[in-house]
Amino acid sequence: MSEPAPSRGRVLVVDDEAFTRRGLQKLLELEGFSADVAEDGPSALRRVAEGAFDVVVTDLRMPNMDGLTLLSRLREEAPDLPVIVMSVFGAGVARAREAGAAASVLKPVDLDALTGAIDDVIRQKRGG
Amino acid sequence: MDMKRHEETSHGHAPRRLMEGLDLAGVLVVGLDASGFVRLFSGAAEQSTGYEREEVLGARFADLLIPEPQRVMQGGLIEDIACGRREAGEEIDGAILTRGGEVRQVRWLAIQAPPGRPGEVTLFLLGQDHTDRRARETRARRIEKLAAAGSLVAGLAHELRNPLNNAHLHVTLLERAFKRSSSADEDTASALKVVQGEIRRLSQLVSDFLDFARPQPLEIREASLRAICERALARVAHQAERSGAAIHAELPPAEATVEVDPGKVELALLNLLRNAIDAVAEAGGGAVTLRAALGPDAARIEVEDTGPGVHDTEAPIFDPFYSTKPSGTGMGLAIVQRVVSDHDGVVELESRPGRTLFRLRLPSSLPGRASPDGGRRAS
Repeated sequence: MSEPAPSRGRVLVVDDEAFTRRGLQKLLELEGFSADVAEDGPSALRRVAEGAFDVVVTDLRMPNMDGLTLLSRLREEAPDLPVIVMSVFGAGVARAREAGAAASVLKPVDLDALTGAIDDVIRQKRGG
Repeated sequence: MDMKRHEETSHGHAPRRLMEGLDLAGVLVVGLDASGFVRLFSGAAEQSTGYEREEVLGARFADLLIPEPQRVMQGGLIEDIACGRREAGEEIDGAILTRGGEVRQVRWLAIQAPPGRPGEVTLFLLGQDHTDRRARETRARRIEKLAAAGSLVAGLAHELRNPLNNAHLHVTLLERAFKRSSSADEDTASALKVVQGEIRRLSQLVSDFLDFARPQPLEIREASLRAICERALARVAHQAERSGAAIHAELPPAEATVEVDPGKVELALLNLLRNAIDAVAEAGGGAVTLRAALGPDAARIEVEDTGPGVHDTEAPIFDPFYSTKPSGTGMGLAIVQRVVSDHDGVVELESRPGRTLFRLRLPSSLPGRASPDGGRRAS
C-alpha cells in the first residue's frame, strides 16, 4: 500500500492505556491521518505546545490529570484546537460536551464514528 | 396554614401547636359528631384528600370520604362508634376517597369522646395515610438494594472497560489487515464480525450498567432545556437516519432553563430516543417526536414514536436487565427511571400499537434546594 499522500489531519491521541494508544494510532494512520500519542494530560499539554495538531482525541479517566481538566486547560492554552473525548459513560460524554468538547465518542471506539467526528471537527475548524 | 378555623370548631381548646405538630407529622385528624357528620378536618386531612376544609365540614363522613365498596361496612362501623353504639376497638384499616376520585389507604385510630351538645365532636379519628409511604418504602428498598449491588459491580465494570476497548480496537485492526490480505475468505470475515459484535455488546452492557449503578450524586444546575434536548438529538441523528426514523422536535426557546443535572437528563432522553428509534425501525420506519415544555411546577419532556408499542405495559420494563430486544442490554429504561427518580420526578407511559409515549415530569424544585427565583423560569 502506498503512503497516503497529504495527511487527512494531524491527531494527538491521549490515553493512559498503551494498547489503546497504539491501537488507535495504528488505525488512524491506516485511515490516512498522521497520529501522535501522549499517555496523560501533562504530556499532552507538552506535545500540544511543541507540535501543530488539528485535533486532540482524549480519554476522560486518566491518572495525573483527567480528561475534563485537560479539556479545560486546552480551552485556555489552545482555544482553536478542537478536542474529541472518548468515554464509556454516556454521562461523562455529556459533561465533556458541556465543558466545550467539540465531539464525543463512546468506548469502545467505533473507528468510523471516530474518523467521521475527526473529519467533521477539522472541517469546521478550517471552515472557520 | 390557617389555624383559626380549627379553633372555630368544637375542639377549640386543643392547643394550636398540637394541631400544627399533628399536621407536620402527617397525622390526619377528623372529628365526627354523633350523627357521623364532619366537624373537624385538619390540614393533613385536607392535604391527603384534596378537599378544602369548608367543603367537608358539615358533610356526612361516610358519604363523602369513604369509597363506595367500603361505605356500608366501614362507614357503618365509624358511625356506630361516633354515636356510641359501639366501642372503639382496634385500629381501623380504611380507605378514603379523595376529591380527585383516588382511593388512598389510611389507618385510623378511633377515639371516643363523651357525648356533649348536638354537633359536638364525639369521635376523633386520627389517621395515617400510608399510600405514599408504602410506595416510598418499596422505592427506598429497591434503591438500597441496587446501590449495594451497584457499587460492587460498578467497580468490576470499570475494570472491564479498558480491556474491552482494547480488544475492540485490535479486532478492528485485524479486520482492516485481513481485508487487505490476499487470503481473505468469507468465513473468517464473518468470524471477525461476530467477535466485534460481541465485544460491542459487552461494552454496551458495561457502560449502561455504569450509567445506571454508579452511585453518583446529581450535579444540579441551571441549564437550557432546549440545549439538553438538542444534544440528545444530535447524538441519535446517525442512528435515526440509518433506521428510517424521521425526527420531529417541539422545543421551548433556548432561554427556558431548568434546574437539573443536565448530563443525566440528556442520558435519560438519549435512552428514550434510542428506544423510540429502535421501535420505529422494527415497524420499518416512522416518526419519533421529542417535545419539551416548562410548566409552572415542572418540566415536561415527551418522547413519542409510531412503532408497534410496548407489548405488555404491565411487564417490568423499568427493571434492570429487562429487555424484549434480542441485542438489548435491558438497562435503557432502568437508567431513565433512575435519572427521573433521582430528580424526584415521574415517568409516565402511554402505549398502543402505532403510538407510544414516554413522558418525564421533573419537578421545579428539589428537596433541600432553595431557589430564590423559583428555580425554573421561562423568561
